[in-house]
Amino acid sequence: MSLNQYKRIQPKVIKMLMNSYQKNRLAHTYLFEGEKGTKKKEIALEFAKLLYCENEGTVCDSCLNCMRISHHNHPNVLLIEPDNGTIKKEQVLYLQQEYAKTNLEEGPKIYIIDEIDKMSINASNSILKFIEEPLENTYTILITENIHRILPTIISRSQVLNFQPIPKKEIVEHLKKNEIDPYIASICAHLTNDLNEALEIANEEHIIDVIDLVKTVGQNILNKNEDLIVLLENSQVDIYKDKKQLAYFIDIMLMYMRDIKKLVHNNDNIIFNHELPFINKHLHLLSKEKIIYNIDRLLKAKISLEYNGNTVLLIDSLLINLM
Amino acid sequence: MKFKIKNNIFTEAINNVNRALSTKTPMPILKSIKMNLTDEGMHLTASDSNITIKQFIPTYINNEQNIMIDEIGSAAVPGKLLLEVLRKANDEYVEIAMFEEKFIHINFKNSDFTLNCLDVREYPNIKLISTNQPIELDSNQLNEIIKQTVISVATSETRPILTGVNIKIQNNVLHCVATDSYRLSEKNVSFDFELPDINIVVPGKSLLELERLLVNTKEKVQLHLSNNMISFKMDQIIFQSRLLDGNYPETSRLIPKEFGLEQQFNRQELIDVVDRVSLLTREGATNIIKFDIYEDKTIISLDSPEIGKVVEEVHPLQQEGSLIRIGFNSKYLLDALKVLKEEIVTIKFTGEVRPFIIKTDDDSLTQLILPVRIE
Repeated sequence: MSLNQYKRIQPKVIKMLMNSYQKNRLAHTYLFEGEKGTKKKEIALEFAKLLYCENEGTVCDSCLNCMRISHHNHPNVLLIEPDNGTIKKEQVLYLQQEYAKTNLEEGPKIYIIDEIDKMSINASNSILKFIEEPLENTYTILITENIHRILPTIISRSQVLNFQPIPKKEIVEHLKKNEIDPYIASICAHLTNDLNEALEIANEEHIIDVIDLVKTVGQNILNKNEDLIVLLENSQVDIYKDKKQLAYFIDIMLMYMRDIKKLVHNNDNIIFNHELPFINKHLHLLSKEKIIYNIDRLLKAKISLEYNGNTVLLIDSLLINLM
Repeated sequence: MKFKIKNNIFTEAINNVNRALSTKTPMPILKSIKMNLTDEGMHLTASDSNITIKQFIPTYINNEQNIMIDEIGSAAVPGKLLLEVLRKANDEYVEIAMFEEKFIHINFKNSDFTLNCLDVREYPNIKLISTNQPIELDSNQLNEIIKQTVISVATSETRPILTGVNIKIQNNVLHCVATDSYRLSEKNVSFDFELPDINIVVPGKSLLELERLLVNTKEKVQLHLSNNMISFKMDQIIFQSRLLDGNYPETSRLIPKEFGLEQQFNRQELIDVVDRVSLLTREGATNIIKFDIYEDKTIISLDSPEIGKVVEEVHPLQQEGSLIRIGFNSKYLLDALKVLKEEIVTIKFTGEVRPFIIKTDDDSLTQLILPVRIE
């Protein structure tokens, strides 16, 4: 992707950075904050390229410096990412040592720390030490999805740039371009905010089965035809065994229930368009209270799954409550 | 790039530069060794970004041809693998050829290895610094300077600048100082020719790595100093390191000039005593030994409540001044004594809670230790 493409996704951020760059008023520490998939890390690297590209004032993405930054081979551009979920003590130590040393090659030093919230308090305090006393010609970009977990002392010392979530339409378009059925595309777009992850989910083997399962379960909640647990046994996908599929199931089920709720309130922003006739026909059978109760149950199940609850109990209790 | 080279010479050179390779680096290209073949010979470069080692293999040594060049060029070859392959090569010569800009062939006897390579253009552009007035030292002398000062560099990163050795040239004297704020080592070397003034801090780790490389050389070493690099040039090898950025604390006023008590010891005997007394210390704890100095004897003792107690009596060769009782970390004294070469050492005290220094006949070196307060 080029700078122009990022400009479409994050117009404000790019404009802000470009303006500061052109006026030579770059801050020494930036905090990039926004949801997953908002291209924070990519734009941070793009920023490094902007400072180094041989074609001044743009990012060509083909000169030697741009290539080296893309391949993490530039000695003055250092990217630190969590290793197995956390930023390790050694990584922070390495960063500290890098800060203390002279340059290998001439030019500005750029430090990018991804998911800085995955760092211990001690480690963030030592980071604080060097952003408090910024060196000349050194830029630090901190990245987080969780600004609430960042030390207030770090926030107060950096320029915070908010990354806007990627519009769902953009994701749907991206998926359609990759030959995903528009119907599945709109569902997958609501599962994540990340273009690549959405595509990955859409291409997953069982995703259609999970969607079908949601539909059957949904229909049975509406017309109370069959026992839900029995339904699961006949399904193509085993959500008892596969946690990932279970997580998708809960998320998509939530979408379905929300659609029902929207219909009750005559809101027409519906994801499950294909189901519209069926839902409308049976809508009167479900009370408003029951819909809200079901959404609440699903949300609780989602939390319980995050805390590694017993999946069999979780599914059974969820389905019994949904009926 | 295509050439044939004597394997023993090539392996040795790769082995030398290999010291600079790091397995843990965020930059993938730094796992490679850069080869650059010109008509004069082969230039090898390896770096972990902190230190860089370059070695040159001339095409001819004493009229004997080492490299048969087919085509000049350059490549970035995975370092560790290359070394492994060459070490196991069972032939006098190896043939190396690059093709499609991303593979390298290594041929010997009946074997044919193909290794994937990275784009050599992405290799960091490490400029070799070179000054008009290098300092020339014997490798032995340089090794000694490093050994005697690097013991005092700080190991904790709380003050990064202290993890290096301060190298300062002033009035044609080279001052090397290291301190972790509990002890200090200072070595001064005078030169009888003009040298430009400079003040830099070289990372202790880089110097330790250089020391290992120096063990095998008997040559003269040229030091080139600049404000962001230091480079050590040997005959065919160049060792270069980045520096620590920042101002080194002023240390000249820390070393006391007047002393209330001086003691002389046989160095090896003192080492043995301190070593014995230090037996009763736990790994990782600070080990405070006490010197109780009397007119006719000195009692060295260590009291470790969890382990036990040890007392040993020593008789200094000579003693002059007022009597004191002093406690300090035994490791600091041992480190300082072990890097000296002279037989006789003099410990000069100023007071029970004031720093003391260790000197020998070689006036260029001072080791300073801070005591701790004992009840």
